[in-house]
Amino acid sequence: MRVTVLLFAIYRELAGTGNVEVSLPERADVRALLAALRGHGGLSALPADVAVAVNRRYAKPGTILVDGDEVALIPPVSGG
Amino acid sequence: MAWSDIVSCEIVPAAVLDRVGGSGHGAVNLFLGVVRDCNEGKSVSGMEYEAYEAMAREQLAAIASEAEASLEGGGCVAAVHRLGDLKVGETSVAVAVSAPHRASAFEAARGVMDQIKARLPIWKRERYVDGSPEWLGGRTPAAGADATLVDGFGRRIEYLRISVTDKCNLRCVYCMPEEGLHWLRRDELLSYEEIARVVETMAGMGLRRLRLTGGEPLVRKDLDRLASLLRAVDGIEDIALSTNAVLLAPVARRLRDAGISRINISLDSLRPERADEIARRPGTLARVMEGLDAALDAGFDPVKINVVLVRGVNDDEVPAFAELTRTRPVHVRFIEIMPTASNLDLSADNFLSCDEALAAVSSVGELRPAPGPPGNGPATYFALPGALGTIGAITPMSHNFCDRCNRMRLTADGQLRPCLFGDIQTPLRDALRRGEDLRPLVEEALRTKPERHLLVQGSAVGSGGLVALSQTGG
Repeated sequence: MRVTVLLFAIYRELAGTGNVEVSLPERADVRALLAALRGHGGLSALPADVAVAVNRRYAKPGTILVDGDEVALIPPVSGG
Repeated sequence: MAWSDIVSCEIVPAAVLDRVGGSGHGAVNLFLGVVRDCNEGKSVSGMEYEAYEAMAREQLAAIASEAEASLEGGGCVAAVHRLGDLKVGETSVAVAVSAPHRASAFEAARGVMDQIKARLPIWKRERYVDGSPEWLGGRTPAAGADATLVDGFGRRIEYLRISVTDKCNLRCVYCMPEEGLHWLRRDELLSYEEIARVVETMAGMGLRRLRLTGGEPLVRKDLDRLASLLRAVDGIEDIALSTNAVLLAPVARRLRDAGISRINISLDSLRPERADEIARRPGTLARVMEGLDAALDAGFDPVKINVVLVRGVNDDEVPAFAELTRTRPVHVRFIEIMPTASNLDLSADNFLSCDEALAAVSSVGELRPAPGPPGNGPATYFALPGALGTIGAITPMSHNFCDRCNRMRLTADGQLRPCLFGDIQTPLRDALRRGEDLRPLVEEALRTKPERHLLVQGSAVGSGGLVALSQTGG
């Protein structure tokens, strides 16, 4: 399956784009997605504890992805 | 109800204060976050805020309603965050709380700000008087910071089937005994407001889609009122209805206007006498077809027709159902029968697999794999050449689909059931009526969701826990 990952703020600047497409096997989890993303040029230095949102909720490393999910990398937040 | 917003214009504190307050609220607290002119020894000229806006909206709504639910003795919470370029002195965030006493008002406002700092997907970049702008360091939100509905097997639960009544106006032979069942008393049923509270709690945890079922949901009065309540809950994207369509024609438009967007109709025969015989009620088919056309006219999309396959009952009508997809934009789905408490007299000889049914369709045309209607279901889809609709197969028995299960069920009497089969359930009604926080109970139900059900063809009888599907919402 193909998953589109949204990028914001510092991650968007590191990757030089607001979203990247990743090819993953069916039933891949968030951990597998991150491993694949680290192979992408500007994102090789993603921190180990990077936060991931799936369908706009914070996901766990074992959260399983399905086709059509809205996935985003969430840099450390600094609202307020 | 809590109020929240993400804006790109100026925040007017008085307008935020207007969102809170009440005759019993002796304390009103307003917090403003303001851009300051220096940070770590550098002179700051302004601040730029970026957000993952769709998520920020939902998270802020959840933060505000969680804070409101935690206010002892009641109260109101309002929160708004601004995006874009801000100058020194401008307000970036405002939180207002009203409560009976000051202690809880202070505490709740602080709690909202703490949650904003911990999990709201917003990032700020400082612009300096000298030097280039920089993203500020922040906090990495914890996995599950928003109590996402993920079960012990990594499955995300975004879909809740809500049974609004255990009663039905039909007595289909495979579903319900002719004399009916022992019905729930009125006070045992969740009220529409109580159902909305359950949905609000679960939406704050990641619930996205709902389906109203029964019994027959349309036998409960003013179902459109429930639909309107549920449509207003933040995070809920989609509401569907499962019905036998007998009572649908007069109310279809009203339900569509109230925010129900899709509909599933149960229909097991296209022959009038046979349909009556299965439903054990006269005149069934004519009213169902009227309901079907009313649904198409009202703009429900998709409209699906669910056909339970029973050998010796409707196996000879498979091609006729397939033909329906040529003339109407409907999605016909063949469903393998599942053993339940009320149909155990059907023997294994009555089981008809979807594979066999699809093979029978090939007598009227060549089936090609097709993209199905957007939906939450576990069906696989095909289409006849040139047809307006599609044909789907739901195979709980011959192809188990537990590993894709994304749902839980709420029974009419307020039991949260993580699995269709088995007797695992978490009662919510008493906690609801005592005004307690439902989240711990929802989390418990999630933890008890089994990896798969024990219902395997031929071995289900005697495994215990078989219930009438009319009581669990199918």
